[in-house]
Amino acid sequence: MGPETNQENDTERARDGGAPAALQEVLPKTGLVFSERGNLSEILCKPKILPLKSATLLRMEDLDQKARELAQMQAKGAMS
Amino acid sequence: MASPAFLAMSRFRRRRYEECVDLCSEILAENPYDKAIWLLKTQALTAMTFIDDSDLEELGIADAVMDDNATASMPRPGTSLNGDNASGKGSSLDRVMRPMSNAGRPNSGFVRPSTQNGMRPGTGETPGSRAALESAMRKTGSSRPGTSRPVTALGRHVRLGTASMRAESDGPFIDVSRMDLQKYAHRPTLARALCEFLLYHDHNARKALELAAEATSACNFEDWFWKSRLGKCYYLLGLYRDAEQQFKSSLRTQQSVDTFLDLGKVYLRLDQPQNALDAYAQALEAFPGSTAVLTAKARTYEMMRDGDQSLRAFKDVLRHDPSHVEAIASLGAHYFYSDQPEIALRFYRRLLEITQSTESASGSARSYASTELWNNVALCCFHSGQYDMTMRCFENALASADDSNMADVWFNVGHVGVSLGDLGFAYQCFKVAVSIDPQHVEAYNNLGVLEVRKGNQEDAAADFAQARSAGSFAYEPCFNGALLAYKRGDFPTSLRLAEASRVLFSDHPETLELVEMLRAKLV
Repeated sequence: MGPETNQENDTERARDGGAPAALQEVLPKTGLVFSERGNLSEILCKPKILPLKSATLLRMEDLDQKARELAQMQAKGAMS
Repeated sequence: MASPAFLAMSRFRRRRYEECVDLCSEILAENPYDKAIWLLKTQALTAMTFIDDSDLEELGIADAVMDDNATASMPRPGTSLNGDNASGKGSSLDRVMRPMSNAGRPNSGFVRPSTQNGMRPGTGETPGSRAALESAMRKTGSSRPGTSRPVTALGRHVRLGTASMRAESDGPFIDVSRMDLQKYAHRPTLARALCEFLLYHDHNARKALELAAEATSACNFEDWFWKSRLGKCYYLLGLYRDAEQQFKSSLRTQQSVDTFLDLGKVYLRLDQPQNALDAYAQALEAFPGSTAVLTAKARTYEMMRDGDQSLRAFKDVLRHDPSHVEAIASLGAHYFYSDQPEIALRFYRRLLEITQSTESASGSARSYASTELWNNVALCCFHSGQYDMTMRCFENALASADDSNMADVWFNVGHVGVSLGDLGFAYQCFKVAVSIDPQHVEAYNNLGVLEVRKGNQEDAAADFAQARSAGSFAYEPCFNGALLAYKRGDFPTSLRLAEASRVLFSDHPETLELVEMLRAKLV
């Protein structure tokens, strides 16, 4: 039951002639200069900016790739 | 019909190295003693396999584990590259905002050979210990099979050397073992080309060292070039103190940007970043506005996790070279993680413009306009509210993605799903991400969170456990696991996981709160 419905019940009771209950304050949990922590909840991992590869890295990958292709070709040549 | 020698030189100048080498081989077949052509062929072969070595090399597994070069085992704060996780607080490298890469360092905007697999074992792990070995093995690539990290840094050089020798069909062009290096040492022009060939083509540091030692004594130890090459050879062989002496001596004779950068590399290997920064400061006095030095400075601050200084240095780089890719990418990542995606978007859009213009000019297939860049543009678009562009950019990213980065892109797409509230879509994206990379820590963690929201606590616990076993750099799976165990009443497990989370991120307020709650329950 939220604070607002509580308040409504209280005012209703007061109108019905019952014991006037103290008015409940509604206090916001966050504002401009303050914030109150709620319950703990699970955290998601943040989105990931992918780092760009440096030219050196791209070149090394290229050289590796070329060497691998060459080795495969030579192995094939040796087989046949 | 032009003279073949002239044609070969022209091809060399136009960077058509393969054609140049072919032509040189033909000329040399006719006249094997043509020194000019021999020199040209040597230079062309060197240029074909040249790799920019002004930045630190990737550390091999053995280097990372057996690394006892660090001068101080318990360095004072701010004097070592092995900063603890708490440092970087308040800057954009703060862990609250910036995720960790699997190398265990803050995610940066740019990846270089030395940063792709992590530098050294974490702090507190003694070199050679079992824990250090395990952490080094875990940091091998993204722990996926097939990414081959060499055992030592020299190992990669040997591998590249073998590869370039294999590429020559009719045996090696220069057989160094049969050469009289002393004779060459007295012919400065040939010796220099030969030394570069040994370093960059054969990657044979020992022979290069022999040659450089002969040559430097032949010119009475007065030539800065030979001293700096001696230093380079010592550095490659792991003799850092000798390398430092040679570089310093070379700088006394003649100051040069390359030598300063090499000296800085030596200090970084010795884990003395302050000395490296001093060397860069000297270099900037001699060569004000050199972007290479400024970049090295920025990288060093980044490695020390000093986000603000690194940012300042990268801005300085951009002031001198407005199309410096590394600086733009790093600044883009910084602004994204400091909650200014609109500005980050402007940086990444600039990169796209640069790469597209250079791509059409050079026609090269590989460039920076890649999966990574499109992914970053998409993320910036989404977070700055340009929703219409987001999915199209992600589509572009996925179109060019390969196994190494596709999982990360799907992970980010899943994030967009979560932010839109389309949890079914997000769930599917994370599932795709883990199907591509079964070791994707972040995707498993987010899957777990979605399972918790659905009420499947068992599945969630399994996902968090999987995320923890896949990588130990993220605190989120530990904290989430702890929270879940707490809610289920399993306080001892919860405390264990919360402590693990606190080790990874000591200032995380929610972890500290959970630990306090658990202490109250258990004690």
